[in-house]
Amino acid sequence: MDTGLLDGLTIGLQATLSLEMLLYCFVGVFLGTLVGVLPGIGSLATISLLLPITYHLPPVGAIIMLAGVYYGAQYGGSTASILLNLPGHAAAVVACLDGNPMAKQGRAGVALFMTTIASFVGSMLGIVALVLFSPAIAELGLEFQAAEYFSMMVLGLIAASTLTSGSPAQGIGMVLLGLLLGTIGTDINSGVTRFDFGVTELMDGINLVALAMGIFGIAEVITSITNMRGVKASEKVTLRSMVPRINELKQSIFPMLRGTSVGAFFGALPGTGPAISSFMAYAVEKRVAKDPSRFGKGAIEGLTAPESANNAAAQTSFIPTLSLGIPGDAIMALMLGALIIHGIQPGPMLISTQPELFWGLIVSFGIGNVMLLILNIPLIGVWVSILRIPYEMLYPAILIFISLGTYSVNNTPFDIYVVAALGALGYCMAILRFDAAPLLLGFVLGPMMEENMRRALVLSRGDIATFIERPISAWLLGFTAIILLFATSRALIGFIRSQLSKNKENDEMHTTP
Amino acid sequence: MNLKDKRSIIGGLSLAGIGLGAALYSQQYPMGELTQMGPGFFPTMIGILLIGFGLLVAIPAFFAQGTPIKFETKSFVVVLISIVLFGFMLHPLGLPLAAALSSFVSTFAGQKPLKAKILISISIAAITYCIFIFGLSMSIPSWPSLFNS
Repeated sequence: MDTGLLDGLTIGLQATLSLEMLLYCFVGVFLGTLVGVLPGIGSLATISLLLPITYHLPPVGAIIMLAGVYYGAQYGGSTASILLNLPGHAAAVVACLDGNPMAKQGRAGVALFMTTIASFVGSMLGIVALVLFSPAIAELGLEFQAAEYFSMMVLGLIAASTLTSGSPAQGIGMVLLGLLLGTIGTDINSGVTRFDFGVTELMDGINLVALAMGIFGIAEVITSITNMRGVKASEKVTLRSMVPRINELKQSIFPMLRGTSVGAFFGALPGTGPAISSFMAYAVEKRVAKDPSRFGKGAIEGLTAPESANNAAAQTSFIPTLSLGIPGDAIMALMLGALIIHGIQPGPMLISTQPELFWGLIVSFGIGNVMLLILNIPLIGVWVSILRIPYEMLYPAILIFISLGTYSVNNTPFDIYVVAALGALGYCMAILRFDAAPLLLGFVLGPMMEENMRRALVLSRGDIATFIERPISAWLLGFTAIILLFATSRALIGFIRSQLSKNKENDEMHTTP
Repeated sequence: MNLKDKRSIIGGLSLAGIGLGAALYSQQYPMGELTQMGPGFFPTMIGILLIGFGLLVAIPAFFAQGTPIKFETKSFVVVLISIVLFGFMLHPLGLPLAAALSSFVSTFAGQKPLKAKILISISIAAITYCIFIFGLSMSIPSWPSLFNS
């Protein structure tokens, strides 16, 4: 069934233009912005917290809400960056660079206003890209069999783990740990329970929400308690102060478009998302600028381009998830988990078998972004005053919410203990500077990878070469190898360089009297 | 001044250790053959890879620079204890009491005066009751089961 664009949009509108759906959309984007504004709790934690609540909602409504949290957070994230020099989450770090200087110059209102506009532009154009490319990629995905799925997942995992911070070996190690944690529980094929250590509750495996909340949420709280001590936002922001100068608006048009292209591209790739897109967009702007020295001191392009980028990326990261069923990062993995829980099989068939879901989601993105635009401008003042609540009053509530949210999945206190245990693990990982996102990806994809590997081997009668003999699979593994090579050489060069400079230091130490 | 990159050493060796443990533990599950992968196959494979990559992380770290590790023990212990306490107390004490007790404990990671701690705990108990039991009508015990017959 090949739906044309207009038909698709009609289906989507029919699915979303009900008070119920619009409410879910609103709740999602509102929560998303709120959570994006608040440092110390991110969209990942919120989405996992909301997962159990969405069980009671119809699948379309559930995904609309969760997606709203995701791209809504990209609107709010820069608020704390601008006002407090404290990013709300990774993708908002870049906003500190030029946003905070602008605030210090008394231009916080303009900065906040422009980031909202930039976010809107980035999102809307990102949605266009999403609509244009998803059906085409889904067509390609129909050629996929078990071997191709396996290779695609390998590519996604390797890309995600090597392109993040830290050495590629670390990232891959995290993925492997996630894969391992995913094997805990009953193996579907054989009925054998693995790694349950005799504990009944572990026979279903580790609860996804408990894992996400523990490793990301609890760990973040523990680190934030010390980091957030004594930090306060000072400014009061009025509506009048938000109006930018005309030439600033003009200056921002091309940066927004450039940022959107960067974001749309990197968002669709597995392993890269809003955070990396915002860094890239900043780098591009600086490279293209007539006077690069303005950057870091309040250059408006340094603020608007990354904002468009991270919003565009947030939209396009749905492309691989919806058209192939392969998540590009941890949050998409959660979305996928949510779909599976609702009994929806993600994959290339999704667009044709569940057109209301696909098109409904797309239309909700558009509606959601419009809501955000309207919401954010008057609410900027509200966000600012919320940021004044000292973190010490906030975090006990956050902890209880996390525990309760996890509990509500299975109504068993065991899950709360799991959160604590994984929180301990997550904190240790954070201290050791090991990035946890690849772990989540590995955890969600693990069972699927094993299943596809097993199936591919059954189909090929035990011939491992099938992964290289089948053309699409070979290409995917080829890309994986290229990424691995690239990452390894980068790591090696960095290592050699650090050794050389260490030797230089030692020489200098010995020669100076 | 020869600070090794302790972080990667500890992390890498831990990963390798976990991998070794997993690979060994998986031996009790049937491996099957390539044509019919058994439940033990995948975990063993991952375990072995983990050993490799764990060492790959740890060994270069012996030659690299690192910064001292800062472990916030007080926050760590307080937060974890408060969560475990919550899990313990939820059924026996019901939500509001368990929430109040647990948040009271967790406030000790901060530096607010005692009165503020008590106030925060009570307000959290009230808020969570309203949101979770009133608003979302989740089936969570709200009254201590000790009081039930």
